[in-house]
Amino acid sequence: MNIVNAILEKLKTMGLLRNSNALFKAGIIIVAGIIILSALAPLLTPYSPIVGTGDELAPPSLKHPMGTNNLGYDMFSRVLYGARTVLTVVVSATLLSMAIGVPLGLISGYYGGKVDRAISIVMDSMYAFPSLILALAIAAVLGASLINAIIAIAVVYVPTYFRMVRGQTLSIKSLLYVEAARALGASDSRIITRYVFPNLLPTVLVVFSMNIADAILTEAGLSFLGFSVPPPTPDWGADLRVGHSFMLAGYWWLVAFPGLMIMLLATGFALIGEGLSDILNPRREAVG
Amino acid sequence: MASLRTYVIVRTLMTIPIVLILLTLVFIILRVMPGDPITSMVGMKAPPEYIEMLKEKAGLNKPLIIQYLDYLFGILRGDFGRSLIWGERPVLYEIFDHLPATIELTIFGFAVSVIIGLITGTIAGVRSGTKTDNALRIYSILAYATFIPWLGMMFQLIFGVYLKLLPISGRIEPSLTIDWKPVTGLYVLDGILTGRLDITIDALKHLILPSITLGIVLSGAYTRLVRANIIEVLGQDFVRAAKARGLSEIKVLRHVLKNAFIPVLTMMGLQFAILLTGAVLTETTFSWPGMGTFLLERIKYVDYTTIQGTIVFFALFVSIVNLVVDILYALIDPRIRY
Amino acid sequence: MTLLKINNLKVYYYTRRGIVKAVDNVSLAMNKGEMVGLVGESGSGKSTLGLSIIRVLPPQAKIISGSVIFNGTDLLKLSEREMRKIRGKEISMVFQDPLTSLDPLQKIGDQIVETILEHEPNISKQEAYNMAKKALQEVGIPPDRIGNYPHQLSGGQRQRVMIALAMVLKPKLIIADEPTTALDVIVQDRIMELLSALKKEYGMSILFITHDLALAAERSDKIAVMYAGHLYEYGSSTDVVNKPLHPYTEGLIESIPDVFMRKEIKEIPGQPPDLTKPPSGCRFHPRCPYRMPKCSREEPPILQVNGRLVKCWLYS
Ligand SMILES: Nc1ncnc2c1ncn2[C@@H]1O[C@H](COP(=O)(O)OP(=O)(O)OP(=O)(O)O)[C@@H](O)[C@H]1O
Ligand SMILES: [Mg+2]
Repeated sequence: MNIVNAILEKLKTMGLLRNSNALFKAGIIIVAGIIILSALAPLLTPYSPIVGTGDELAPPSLKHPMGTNNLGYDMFSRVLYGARTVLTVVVSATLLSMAIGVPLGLISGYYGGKVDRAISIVMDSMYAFPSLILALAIAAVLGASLINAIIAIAVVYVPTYFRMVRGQTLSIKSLLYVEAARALGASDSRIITRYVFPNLLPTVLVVFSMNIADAILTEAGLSFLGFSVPPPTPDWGADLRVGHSFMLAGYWWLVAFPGLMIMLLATGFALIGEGLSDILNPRREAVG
Repeated sequence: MASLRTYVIVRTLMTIPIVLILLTLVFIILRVMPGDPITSMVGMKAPPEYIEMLKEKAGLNKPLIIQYLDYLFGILRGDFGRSLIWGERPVLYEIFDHLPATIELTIFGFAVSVIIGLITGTIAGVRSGTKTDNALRIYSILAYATFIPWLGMMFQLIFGVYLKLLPISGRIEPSLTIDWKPVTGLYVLDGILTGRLDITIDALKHLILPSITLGIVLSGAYTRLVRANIIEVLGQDFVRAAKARGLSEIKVLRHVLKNAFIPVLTMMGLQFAILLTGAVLTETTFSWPGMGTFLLERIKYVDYTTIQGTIVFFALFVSIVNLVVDILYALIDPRIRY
Repeated sequence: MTLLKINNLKVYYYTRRGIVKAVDNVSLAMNKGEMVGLVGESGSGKSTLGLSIIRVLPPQAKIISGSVIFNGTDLLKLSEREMRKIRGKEISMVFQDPLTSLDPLQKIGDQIVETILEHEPNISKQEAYNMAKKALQEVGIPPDRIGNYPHQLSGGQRQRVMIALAMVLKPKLIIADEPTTALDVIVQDRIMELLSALKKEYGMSILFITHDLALAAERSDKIAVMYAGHLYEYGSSTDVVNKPLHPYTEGLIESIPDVFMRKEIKEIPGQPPDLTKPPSGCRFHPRCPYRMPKCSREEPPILQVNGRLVKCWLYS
């Protein structure tokens, strides 16, 4: 419980809600809005996202606020349910990356030595590789499915957490009071749970929300290329792929709305990340 | 300049382990990971004999360690294997067929993103804390969060479908190239080299939408990077000292920009990976016959060796670009070569 | 002959924490060919005063009122364009940290040449180069170092380059803001020697900003003592050091460590105030051993005592 208390303490001193700024609030509103809408989807639309309404390629109207697609699926319903798919894939994937990347980075940074160098060079190489191509290769080998998309995206983002946590651990370890605790004979596990981990938390939070934003785009990319959830699962990226040729014939609503949703959700998480990092390092001195 | 040479040599040697690791990584993903690439690509319903035949051809029936060594030494010799479907054509040839299209697209996309990023970033940095700065900050977030295919499609819709101003797919009007042989594969350049300006102009027209799409989305990162550097440099003593010497604002800004640009350059290596990711999506959106479309097409045909070769090529490409960027950095920044 | 006359200058910083009254109603006059040492503890507003003269303050600083008369013209009334002609040509500045005050990406010679050409567009590039070489030689840098980048020089050498940059156009006034703080003692002495030589050779005036009263006394003709944004004492070096009038000056002198250990070092008790809420009356009163009831109520006027200026109720 030591670690839980330390984290709670840290969160309190960070004063997130007290100091929250416009960016952070805007991000929270966007993200919360999309989550609530997708949770309430059955109440908001009478149509199923995977059953044709018999009305094909209908333009946006009161009945179908975002129109219908070539199979007669209601786009509004697909956009709402699509949020569930995207959030499931992206949140699971980033949590998985975090669960692997954070401990690896901690160990690497805290203990150093040969293992650290070996892990670091592997992570740096992965980090330098184009993320979508890496995810694509993994997804192609594993086959297109929800779980495999999660795995593919998770692998891509492990280095992000690793590099950040390792760097932070190195600098926290050399803080005076941490060195003092070490000199006084505190055990490694105590130092990690009591000092290192709680101090990592703010940065991990920032990276986590930025990372979700990035992962949303990677997921959309994977499914746009046909390597995420199989049809007819509602998914924004996949809808863009299917809608592309119809759009060229003028049926713009097949792609416009799913694409806007991708942008909106990614913006929401990016805003949260930006806002958080502003709150945590208030470096911008007011001028004038 | 002897020290610069040492730097170049050391930096080049450092690339070797990175390349080895990337090659191993690709191998692990394609062959060691659970799941059978050929089966999952062909689909479960394919006849087992067909799958066996493909595996045999791709050398997937040998022991793993032998496969690994074959793979590494093959690449060392420049042998990326032969296509499983396209008349056993060496994969490297096929890659070189598609590489120029990607390079042309990335150069133009990169140029667009750097130009937008430098301008917006400099303005935001110089005016930091003002409304302009905040607006540009929102711009950079939005640009970053934009899904490339969506932006591309909106451009296609507006400029292609409605206004009919610009072509929305491909690199060139096919009728123009009937009796024409490209030299480098970069059509804009080749048109000039062969005295066919009509080809250069047509290639440029085809480039506009894809490169602006790619450029806008990537510009957000440059905006913030340049902004942060400008602010950092503006706070440095030498800027104040330059002002105190009576230098005009333009001259002071020149000192600032030069110093702010160097860290941006170091980021370009990493940005290159993002550029390639963006290029794959842009190519697919605009049916651009580059490496991305090529890779996806071969995944569809389960051309296993080609897929592997292409991904290996991407790995090498990224490492080499990173190397070149670092060397360039050393050439520009006198502090690196001590 | 008066070269520089600062009258009732007020410079405030507008920050999140509040308004920092860094320079508050300071008046100071300097003669031609004179070296004036401006001393005071950290945060007393010395740099702010120096930067205000050539108007290169950070954006959050504002000159509220007062005038800076240089050679008969009020610098605060000049346009930015006219001011630029003064900077580097008539008045130049040497900063504290030589390691960061030069553009790391430009050869030192080019930085000097750039400055010359900015002010003297009629000079040819070749001539400017020769001037740069001569200036480097004068400050003791071998002229063949002209093609070096700043990182190839030591800290002391870089400060010499800064001085070469400051003197190359033979300005009438050099403001040297703690030019030796970042350097070791021996180099420090040589740099001071160099500044004194420039003063003698070209009759330049030097405003020497430092927190080291002993160093200032050794080299300057006059000493000005600042505390918490106010000027508290101004007079000839020998007078100020031998017979300080203001209790703060006295405290400063007593806190100078003596190499021969002939006297006890006495630190002034307490801390300098937060300039967003300076103490009422005399800003030094909370730390003053001679404090009277009046001191916390009314700000003392500047008084002329034995040809010296002092701002203290003890002398009224
Ligand atoms: N850029 C700034 N923004 C806000 N406040 C500032 C700024 N620069 C200086 N100050 C404040 O103005 C006051 C005077 O600062 P100044 O730098 O002039 O002092 P100084 O006497 O030169 O000190 P030092 O010996 O440390 O250089 C200080 O209280 C300082 O905190
Ligand atoms: Mg100072």
